[in-house]
Amino acid sequence: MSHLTEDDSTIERKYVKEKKIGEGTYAVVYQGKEAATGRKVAIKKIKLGQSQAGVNGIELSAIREVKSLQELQHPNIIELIDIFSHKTNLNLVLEYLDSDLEMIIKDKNIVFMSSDIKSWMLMTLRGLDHCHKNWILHRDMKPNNLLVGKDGQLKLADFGLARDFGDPMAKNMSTQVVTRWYRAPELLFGAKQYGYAVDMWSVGCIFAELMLRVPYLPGETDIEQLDLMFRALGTPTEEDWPGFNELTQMKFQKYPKTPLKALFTAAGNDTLDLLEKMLNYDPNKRLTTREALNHPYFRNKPRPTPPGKLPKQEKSNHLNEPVSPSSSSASPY
Amino acid sequence: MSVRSSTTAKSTPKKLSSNGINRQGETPSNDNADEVCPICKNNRYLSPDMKLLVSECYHKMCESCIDRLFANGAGPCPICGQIVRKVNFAIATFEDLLVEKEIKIRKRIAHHFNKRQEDFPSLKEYNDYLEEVEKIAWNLINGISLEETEAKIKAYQQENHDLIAANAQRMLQEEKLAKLVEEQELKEKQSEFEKYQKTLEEERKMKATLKDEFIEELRSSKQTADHSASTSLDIASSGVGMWLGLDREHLDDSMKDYNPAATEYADVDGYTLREKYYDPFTEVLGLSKTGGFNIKFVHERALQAAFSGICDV
Repeated sequence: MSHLTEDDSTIERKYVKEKKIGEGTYAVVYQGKEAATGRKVAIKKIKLGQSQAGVNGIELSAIREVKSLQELQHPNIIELIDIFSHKTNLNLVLEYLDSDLEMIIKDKNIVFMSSDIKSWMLMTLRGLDHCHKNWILHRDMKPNNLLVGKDGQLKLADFGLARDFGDPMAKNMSTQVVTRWYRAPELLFGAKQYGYAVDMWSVGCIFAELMLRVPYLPGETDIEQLDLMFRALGTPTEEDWPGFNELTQMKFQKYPKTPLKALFTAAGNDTLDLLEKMLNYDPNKRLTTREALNHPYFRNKPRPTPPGKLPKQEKSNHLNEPVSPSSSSASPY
Repeated sequence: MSVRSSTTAKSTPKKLSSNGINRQGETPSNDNADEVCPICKNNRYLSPDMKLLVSECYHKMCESCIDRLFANGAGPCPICGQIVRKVNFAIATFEDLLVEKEIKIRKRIAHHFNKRQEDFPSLKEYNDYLEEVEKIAWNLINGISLEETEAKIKAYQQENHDLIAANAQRMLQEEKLAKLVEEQELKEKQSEFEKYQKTLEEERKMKATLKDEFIEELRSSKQTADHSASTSLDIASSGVGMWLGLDREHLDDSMKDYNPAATEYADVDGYTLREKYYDPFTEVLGLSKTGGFNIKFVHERALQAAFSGICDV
């Protein structure tokens, strides 16, 4: 990244802001382009000094985002092109993508083939695998944060909640992460130390959503979220999830386990096996990204659709890099 | 006007009990072939277009008789002799003319006697009032002491002029409100209907795209129609959202030899992660495994950092 050697105003002059495309709690996103090449970019202007919770006036999510994205360079992760400050604002120059998976799922004119779903899953897992290999948790995996470019490439975005994992000193990791519908059971039960498995649960929910075309577990409250989860997957027992009984004092209605086949009638056995292993209650048994990528599902036919051939929206006017307000309630760790 | 005369009208086809209510409860159908105009004796069998109208004195006669009798303005009713006009003949809403008459009278009474319960100090007085109104209506309907009753109405009207007007006003307002509510409901229903139409339209479009895609597939596919047909069967049986058990594989072979687990970067290697390490430091922290934290993360991360030469712990 060139900003290490150039000063702020030099970098700033390289980019032209064109129009505002979105605003979140801590940032405004503009569409713009690189003056020299005409390459479309998204400029995320972070408002400084807005929150007292920020470190030295900089919002924590901004630090998380910069920290993570500087480390991660991968075809399935959004690229942080440049950073510059202007007056009291911090500006992140990000790759511009004009659609996201949520819009594609919601667009009822698009018909999904199983090979399309496999392709999106493959790209999601590859991006996430790169995060996890670098010991970074995304912690806000949802279709809305999986951007899709014109070339069909899917990229993980919005690292505002990302942090590292596998640090023994981090004894009190926030449980208020991940948008509720995609939140893993251990987070809902308030586990203070967790790992890669929280992201994998979200991916499982996204996988199910790709097949159902509606959110899989759309709970209105945390309690309802658990109830929905137990209804769908059965209430976990100490056997399913060692330590479960110590995790909560709450008593839950006992729902029996229903085979996934009942809801996902068109899915093949390999598909269901992968989904079931992603939605394993015990986070220690939940698949890692690597295990998921090596699952027979990705080797069996049909082959994933090449990104360029994936169905696209006819017309899109997407706001790049959505600043998700629904999950920005993270507290500092 | 006389009630009795109406029972003599031949067009009233059934016998009426003395209280004016048709006990048999049967209504002859409009296309009754026996229907006869009491004046010219023309019947429906001979002229199916015959239209029987009702006079203000509640006597039926056919249109051509009315035209003939009252061509020169008002004249006496050929049945009861009351002076009637052509314009006041109307199509009967009810087959039974007594019902027709009673409704008309009750409408008129309700117009004047529009007091409500809240206008009375007690329920008993309200009931007495209702009783009185009923008596007046009864007298009018059955033609009992007509003049006396009319006088009563007039006296009441003068006495309660203000209240009647006020109540009428109130009623009007309530009607307006009811109408507004009704309109609102209608609007809602309409928008619901439009929504439904939209979903239908979307579904139709979806099906069309499906079909197009299927045809496109048939066209570009090297496989036999049988195979395609069987995959299209999957569509029908899927039932889950709009996800299809189809694949686009034959469209492109570029994904034929791919490794799903291929990564962009080589993994850090040169070490073997052991099941257990001597690690008193982490042990004392008392980390819980239930939430998905694994002590192996710590060890592997340390090893990776060491082996990639950027140990920052």
